[in-house]
Amino acid sequence: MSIPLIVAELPLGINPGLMLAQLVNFIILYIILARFAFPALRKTLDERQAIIRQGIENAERAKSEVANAHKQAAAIIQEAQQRAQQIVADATAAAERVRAQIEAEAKRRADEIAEQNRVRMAQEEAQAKNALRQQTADLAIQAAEVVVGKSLDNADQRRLVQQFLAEVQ
Amino acid sequence: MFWGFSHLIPSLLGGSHVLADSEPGGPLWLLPHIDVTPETLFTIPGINFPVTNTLIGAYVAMIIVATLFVAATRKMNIIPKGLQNFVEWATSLLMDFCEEVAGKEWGRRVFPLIGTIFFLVLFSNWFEVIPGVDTLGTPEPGVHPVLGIFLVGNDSNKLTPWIRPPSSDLNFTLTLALISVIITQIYGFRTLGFFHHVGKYISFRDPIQFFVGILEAISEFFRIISFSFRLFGNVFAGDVLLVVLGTLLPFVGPTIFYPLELFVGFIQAFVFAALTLVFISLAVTPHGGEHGEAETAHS
Repeated sequence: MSIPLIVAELPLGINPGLMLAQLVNFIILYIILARFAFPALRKTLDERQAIIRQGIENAERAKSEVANAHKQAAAIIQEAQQRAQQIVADATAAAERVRAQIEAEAKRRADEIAEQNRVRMAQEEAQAKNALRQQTADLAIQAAEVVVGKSLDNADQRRLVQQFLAEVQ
Repeated sequence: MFWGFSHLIPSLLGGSHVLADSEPGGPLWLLPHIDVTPETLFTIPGINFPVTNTLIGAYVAMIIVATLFVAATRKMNIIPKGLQNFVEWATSLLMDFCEEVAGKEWGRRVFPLIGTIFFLVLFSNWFEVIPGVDTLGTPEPGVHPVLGIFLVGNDSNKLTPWIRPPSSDLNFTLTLALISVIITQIYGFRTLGFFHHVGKYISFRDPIQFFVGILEAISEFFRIISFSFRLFGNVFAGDVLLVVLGTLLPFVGPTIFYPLELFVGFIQAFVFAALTLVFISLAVTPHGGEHGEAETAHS
């Protein structure tokens, strides 16, 4: 074992010169790894982590979006059904109303016609009665003329007969 | 891929039965020299600087880790595959651990340091099981290898391996321990301010605080020792175990212990990095939470 001039040999083979060489070795490795290897590794690991996190988040979001869409679709369908039911109900009610209206109108018209008929018949009856009364008066006067033998032409006589007939009625 | 192969070589270097007749009467092979001191391969002239096999190992480990990471991150793809996937997996586990222990912000800040420590120590530890480590080397002067490459008999341990696991050398582990402790202190000073941080160690408010402060200072110092000797002890012991078993029971012996050594290598690298992380996160915490370090320091 030769002893270097720069440093003395210590027990157990410890030699400051050799330790310095080992330190240099360590520093070289440290610089290589810390400058070239570890940052690249760290960057890749972080990037990959970010990508994976992004992917998982996207998947989660897509899942929740699908669930939302399902919920929305169900809501829309339900609303549509409600609306359809509403429309049918409305239409039914409207038809019912129209039917009632038409019915009422028809009834009213029928009543009207009946009333008109009734009025006309009453009028005709009154007319007939009048005419009858007139004829009866004439006949009575004629008969009386025949009986009396003279004409009951004057107004007093005629009024008398009519009064009589009115009382007879 | 190293299975049962690595210590084929020591047994061959130690002298296999094929070459048994080269030295009748003598041992086929000897136990290798076991020395805490790393072996010097050559000295750089001028400054007379010894280049040891563990230093070579450390630089090889550094080159392997750097190449691996640079190759894996050269063309980053958002959908990872192959090498990038593997490196990302290992790195993100450690990143997550850092953020768990030190919080999001500090975890990200200290990760480069923790990651460098972890991967350098991990590969340094795993040198144990790579074929040729501890077994290929330069013979001592005056030794004549059989067939040009094999050492047998009494010559079998006269070898200086070219590469030895860096963490089986105290220079390596002590350097890392000092880096760890000094950077912890720097973070402490920078985050808490000079007086607050010093106040952790020197406090005159009451005698108990004063005593606790002294204990803190001592434990801070002993961390250097526990850090360096824990790693050194584990890896050196594992290395010796494999080499000795390679000579006692060639082919089979070391193989049994390979999984164990891979595990120990990983655990020690993790412990080193994790303790550094814990100590830094304790140092940047204003008060309290200081009592955890005594327990964690013993693992």
